[in-house]
Amino acid sequence: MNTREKFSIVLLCLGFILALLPLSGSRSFTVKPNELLSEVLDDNTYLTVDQVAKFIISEDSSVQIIDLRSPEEFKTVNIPGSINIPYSELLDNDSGNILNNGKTMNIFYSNGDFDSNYALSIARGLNFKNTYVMKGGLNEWFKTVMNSNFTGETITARENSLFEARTRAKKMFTEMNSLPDSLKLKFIQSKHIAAKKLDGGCE
Amino acid sequence: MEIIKKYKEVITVVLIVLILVLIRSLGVNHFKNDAKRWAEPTIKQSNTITIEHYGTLPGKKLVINLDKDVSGISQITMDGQNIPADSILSKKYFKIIRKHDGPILLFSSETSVSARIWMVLSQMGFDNIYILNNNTDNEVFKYKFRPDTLPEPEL
Amino acid sequence: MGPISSLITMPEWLDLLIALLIGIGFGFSLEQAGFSSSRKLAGMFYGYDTTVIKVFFTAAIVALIGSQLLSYFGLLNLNLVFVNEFYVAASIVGGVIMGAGFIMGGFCPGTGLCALSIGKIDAMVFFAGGLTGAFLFAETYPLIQNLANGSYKGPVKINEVLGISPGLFAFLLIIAAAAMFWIAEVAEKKFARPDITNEI
Repeated sequence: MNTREKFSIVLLCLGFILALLPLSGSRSFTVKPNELLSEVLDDNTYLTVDQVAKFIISEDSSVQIIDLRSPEEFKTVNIPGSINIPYSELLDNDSGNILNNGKTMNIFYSNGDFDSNYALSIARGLNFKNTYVMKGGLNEWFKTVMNSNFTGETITARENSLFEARTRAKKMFTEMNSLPDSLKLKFIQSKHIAAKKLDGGCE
Repeated sequence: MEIIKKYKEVITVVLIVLILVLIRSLGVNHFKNDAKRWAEPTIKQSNTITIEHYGTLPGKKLVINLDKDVSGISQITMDGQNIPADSILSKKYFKIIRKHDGPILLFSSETSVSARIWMVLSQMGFDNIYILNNNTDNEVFKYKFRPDTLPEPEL
Repeated sequence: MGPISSLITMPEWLDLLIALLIGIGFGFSLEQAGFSSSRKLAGMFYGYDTTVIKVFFTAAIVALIGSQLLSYFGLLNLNLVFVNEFYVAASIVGGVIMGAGFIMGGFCPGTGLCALSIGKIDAMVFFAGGLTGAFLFAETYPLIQNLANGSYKGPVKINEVLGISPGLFAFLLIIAAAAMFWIAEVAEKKFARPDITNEI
């Protein structure tokens, strides 16, 4: 009796302490602060718009581009092949399925530099190592790729390949985003299903 | 006294757990629970502040310049502390941040750096922390897309 | 092992060894609590022996408190812990089948394995029956597929459904358990069967 009584009292007290703690079912960062700091200051977490352009024109399926803006902005114009996870919903549902593939490279972008980098810090903090940011966001994309211009007499080989890649990416971007809404929606939905399929496991 | 002696094992166990819990709750050298709560100001976009509104924040302000090279920065950030981003968690500098009572403002010539450092610090439990930034339109889409609705010419 | 492996990196064999030791401990404690006796297990349903509920519920509560505290201290990532998926219809049907089997056979799968390891013949037969059942499920799957996969709710957690914090839920569960154990003690006195002793 005595041991049982004492044990029950211990359990009740611990339960009481637990009830007072600010526990929540939602996710918390699992990486240690010093580790996360060196990750977020690592230059390798940034991709330039040219690197992303190359991925797009080669239709690389090991790359997943994630648009963090609102659904309306996404519908108006978006990078071909990207999926939409509004930044405010990033920590909500099971974006873990899409992010933690291990097989795909997840590249965040927003209009500028804030949301994409917040998202990256969050993703890395939750230990999703295969996440990156497109530096400058869609504004940089338009400035560099869409309004790509070559002036001058001669062109170096490197400049030439950059210019070619940009032109092709621009063409693809314009084609995709000029589709009538119904076709665009279908294409986006098919990308969504493909993303889910990559998760694997038994169904 | 008799009661304490009788239940000494119970009291020891509960006391140990209580102390560990208190140490953990009051500590700052780890990430807090519930990532969404500490990311909330970014969702409401209430964590950035311009130089004009800098004065409206109550309390003694600590401006931290996160760049390594501060030679070309404007006057206002020269008044603050220069803590290069990679040493922000070092004992010496982190102590300054922890001990500071009042708003902390982060500044960097690279928006992405201040955004990332903001998130790291916020998740460690810092409530009163902002990004000093003058481009209020960074996340505004600045271009107009002209869709190509002409049919392709048959060749 | 979650908490230890978050502090030091362990080779995989060490992880598996710890799992083996934990399993041995589990089997040992079940056996010493007398769970190889089918009379003790059936006693749960007739009321004269409520050891089962006390042992299993206490184990669950210790695990609950331990995991929540470890998660709070950052040693265990609860998001990595598997949560069973909830299929309403399948759970109900499966529960009925298991309950009927439990009281008829006097074993549940875990304790059946315990009894099997000490050589009880009825445990061997029980196990053969269990494996047959599993085999039949696989063979008739196309027919019962709809029932098995119906009304899928996903991995549900009670505290999420009720909208309370996990800590508060743990506390309420402990209070409920204490109440249940007290009722169990009362029942034991009421439904006592002096002809069934601890020696069987």
